[in-house]
Amino acid sequence: MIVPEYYINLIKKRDTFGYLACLNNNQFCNVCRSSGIYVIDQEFLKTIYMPSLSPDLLKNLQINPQMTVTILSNYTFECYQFKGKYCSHENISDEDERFKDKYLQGMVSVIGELGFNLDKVLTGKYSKLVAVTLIMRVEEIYEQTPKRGTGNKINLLNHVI
Amino acid sequence: MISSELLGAFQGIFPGVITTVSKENIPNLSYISQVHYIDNEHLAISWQFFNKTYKNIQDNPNFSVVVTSPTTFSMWKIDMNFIESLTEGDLFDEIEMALEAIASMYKAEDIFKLQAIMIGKIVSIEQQFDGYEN
Repeated sequence: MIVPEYYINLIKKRDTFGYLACLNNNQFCNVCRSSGIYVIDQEFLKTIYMPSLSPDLLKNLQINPQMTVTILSNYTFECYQFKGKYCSHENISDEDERFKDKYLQGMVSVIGELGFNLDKVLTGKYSKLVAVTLIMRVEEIYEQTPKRGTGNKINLLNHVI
Repeated sequence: MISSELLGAFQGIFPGVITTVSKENIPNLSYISQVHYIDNEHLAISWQFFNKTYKNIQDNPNFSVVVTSPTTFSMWKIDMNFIESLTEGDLFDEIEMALEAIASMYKAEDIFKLQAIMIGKIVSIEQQFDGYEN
């Protein structure tokens, strides 16, 4: 699936919250916060994952590659869920590290506007946690923006932004 | 045991997520506005737009929520079993009122309308991150 430019741009804004999930062997999910999401080559989504938050997630993805990533725009409440297959992981690059820092800055800024000071997240141990990037091939996109009738799979052929 | 710090993460300042699994073994993620403490074994989740979540829970009653403290950035994953959903009663009214406060804070009263609450039994609580100061 080619991810439309609209979603690529929404993800790039860095004022989103993101999570990733996969299935574990107890029929629950491994799920944790992502520290950065972006689209590469229009059909692959890269998400920054900190293994210490959910240590079994990567191991379980290698058993069952079905993977889900969701993003929520903090200002517009637009929300989309990307479903697809885990392809690979790699060490975080300098570019990814810069992206992660800006992503965290965006998140801290949003929460700051609500009266909560999380500036230490940017310099404390969270920012120093080991991170890797996971690559997934996007197969489906679902709308989850809170509104009546939400939750449907987006039919990209008929989708007009 | 649910600590006071974890209780603070239930308020919905940081949007939490709920995950369920379909019968085809595909994970589904959905944002939640609020988690409500009932007792040390039970929580209620505000239920607004969970079409797929509701469907998945009919096939597999296991679900998980992830919540984040807005004061320390501590994060928890709570595994639960679905018990029932409620659309009225004192607990529903209490959660509806709390949700209205969150909606007002985000200036989004029209999109935070509560449809039901989902009651779950806690299976396990895992702290994923213990805060920026620890």
